[in-house]
Amino acid sequence: MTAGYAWRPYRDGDARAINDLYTKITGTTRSESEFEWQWLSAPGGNGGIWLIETAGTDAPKLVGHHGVMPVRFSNGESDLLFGKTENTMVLPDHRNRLLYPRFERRFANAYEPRFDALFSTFGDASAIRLRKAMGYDFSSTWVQLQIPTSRRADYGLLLAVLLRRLGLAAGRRRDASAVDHAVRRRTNPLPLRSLDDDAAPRDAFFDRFWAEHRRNFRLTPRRDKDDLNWRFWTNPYVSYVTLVSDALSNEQGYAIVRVNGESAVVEDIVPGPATAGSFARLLDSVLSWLSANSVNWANVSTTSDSCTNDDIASGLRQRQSLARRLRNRTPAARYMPRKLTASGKDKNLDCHDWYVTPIVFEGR
Amino acid sequence: MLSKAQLEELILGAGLVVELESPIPTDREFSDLGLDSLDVYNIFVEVEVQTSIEIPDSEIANLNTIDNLHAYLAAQDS
Repeated sequence: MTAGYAWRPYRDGDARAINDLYTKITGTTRSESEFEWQWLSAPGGNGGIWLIETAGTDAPKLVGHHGVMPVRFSNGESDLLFGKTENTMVLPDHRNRLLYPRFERRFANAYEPRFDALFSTFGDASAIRLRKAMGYDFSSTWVQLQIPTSRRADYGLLLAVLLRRLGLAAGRRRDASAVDHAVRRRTNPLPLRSLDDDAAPRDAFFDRFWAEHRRNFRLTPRRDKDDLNWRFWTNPYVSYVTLVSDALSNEQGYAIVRVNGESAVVEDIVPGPATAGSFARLLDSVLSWLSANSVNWANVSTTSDSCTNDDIASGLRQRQSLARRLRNRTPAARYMPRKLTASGKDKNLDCHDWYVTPIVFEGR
Repeated sequence: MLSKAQLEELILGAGLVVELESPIPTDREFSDLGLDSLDVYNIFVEVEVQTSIEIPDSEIANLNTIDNLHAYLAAQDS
């Protein structure tokens, strides 16, 4: 019988015990070097890592963990630091014996002053309730679009539409004009350079791109070379393809994609300038590149924020509308809760004015 | 000092996710009543506010029913 629980911040040497807890909770293994990449190597600094241990015994046992990863954001020319809650976990045997929300309150009191805002990318029902009680806003959800890259895929959809209209397959009637649109689009793609994870960090494009264009973006993760290098090019879990559009002087941009056979995930896409036209052309060019490389489907994700850089949002909505009509499905609600801290409120940040992509995940 | 009836009233007003019906069985564990950790946390916050008694972490596991919680508060009050 334990006499209770104690909490403390991370100390050197804790990684192995935290990874063991992570494996027990998630069933997934994580090496110490992967832990170090995630929690101790990000450009925003060390993560805030909090441990809950049994107290009153000779050998305290780790039974709970809560972390907040520092993610560098910007608002125009202003640098910000946001915290992403991550790896909140308690051993099942202790869930009814320790009052976890009480601990998270304590952790949050300790780490909130460091950040301008806090956010979570995913959570089960209990985590959602807890974060609501902690004052997080839940009005934004992730929107995942699955877009055909090739005419072959488009025709496959067209065939599916015809089959449904002929009553040969189950499903609701689709909008044929959306398919027509899909078949006619992407007539003039921008030339793209593709870089692997070794070449991308050495490419001069990334020395200047974000510095030149960040002023046109409101709340969004920073894309300085350090940020991209940590998140993508030194990511221990995934190899990426970085696509650079810099042939034109007045319209540039990049996308970073993960290719899985015939489908790909666009994990980040940033046009410069930040206009609907530039976004649409960049996305269409990425789709063309993927199509030329035998990738038939692209997954593109962002959040439902209504004023996500209005011009980019407009470009995304066009594609979103198309993708939704083509796929004839409503994406499942997956919240992206967030909360401004006292610092964020002092800076008058807007809780719903974010442009985020899967850059805020870790790629696992 | 809160009576059991007052404690039950406080619990019913704690904004729980589960709709409990009065009378609440005072010997049933909160988890058996369908309460999750946030519900229990809310109950303890309400109790601490109402009684000005701070409940240490080491007691949480034992205070898992209305009976136990009431007995603990009575002991602190005496």
